[in-house]
Amino acid sequence: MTATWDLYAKDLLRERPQDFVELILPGARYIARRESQFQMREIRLDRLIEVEYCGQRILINLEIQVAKDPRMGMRLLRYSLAALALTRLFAELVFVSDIERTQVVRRFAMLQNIEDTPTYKRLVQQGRIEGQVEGARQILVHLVQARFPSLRTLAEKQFATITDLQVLHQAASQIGSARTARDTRQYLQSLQSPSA
Amino acid sequence: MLQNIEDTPTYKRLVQQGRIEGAREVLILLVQRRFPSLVTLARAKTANMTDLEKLQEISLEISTARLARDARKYLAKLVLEDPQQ
Repeated sequence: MTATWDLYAKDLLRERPQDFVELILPGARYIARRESQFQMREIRLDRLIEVEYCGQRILINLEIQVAKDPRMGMRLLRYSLAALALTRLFAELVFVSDIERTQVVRRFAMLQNIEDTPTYKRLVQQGRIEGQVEGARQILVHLVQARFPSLRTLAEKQFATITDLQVLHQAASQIGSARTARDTRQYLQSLQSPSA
Repeated sequence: MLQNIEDTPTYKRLVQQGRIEGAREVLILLVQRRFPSLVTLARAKTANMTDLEKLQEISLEISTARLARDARKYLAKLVLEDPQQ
């Protein structure tokens, strides 16, 4: 079902690209499909359409979905960042003089407002939280290992499933003040993964 | 360059920064739990620290220190040991 929908939607896009362009960006003029120039191992664009709009040439990335995908924003951001990175790389290969390179840097500096987008901010937040969880886990395992070496495996197993920073912080308080291996073992065993 | 976004240097830098923050937070919690009067000192001494192993080492010292005086001495010593302080 999904494959059929995907196929028909792509057929329609191929047959009537200008209609879709008009739907998305009224006043834009379809020029050509460009996705074949942007296919990579990890990224497969459904459609990448070059259009002319207000005297400028721009690219529109169309992704066909049967159902609403909450990760769509992240996917599109990933494609855009890859496109930007690729463009910058090519620009740096083509423009070799100092003046040209300075211009390339300046042009890309103008694109820095991507950092103000909610998706980018979410990404930054996700990266930091992922790191915080890892850092907290790492230090907790280190503490258990140093103080009660026989409990290292148990600690690694228990902490590996915990993604809630607050739980890890509580664990820090408990383990930091634990006096015996027995208390620590009991505490570790009492920790349950969210899915348990 | 065109891998998953999680594999990009920028994302990895963010995760590494998060690791340091996460480790530092655990250290501060340990100090708070065991020697609350030393929290401000611990925060000040570790604010610019980016060495994860060092943070682990300090956490262990704090969790095994018997007296606040010992923990304070250890934290104070960090000024001499860590050029970033």
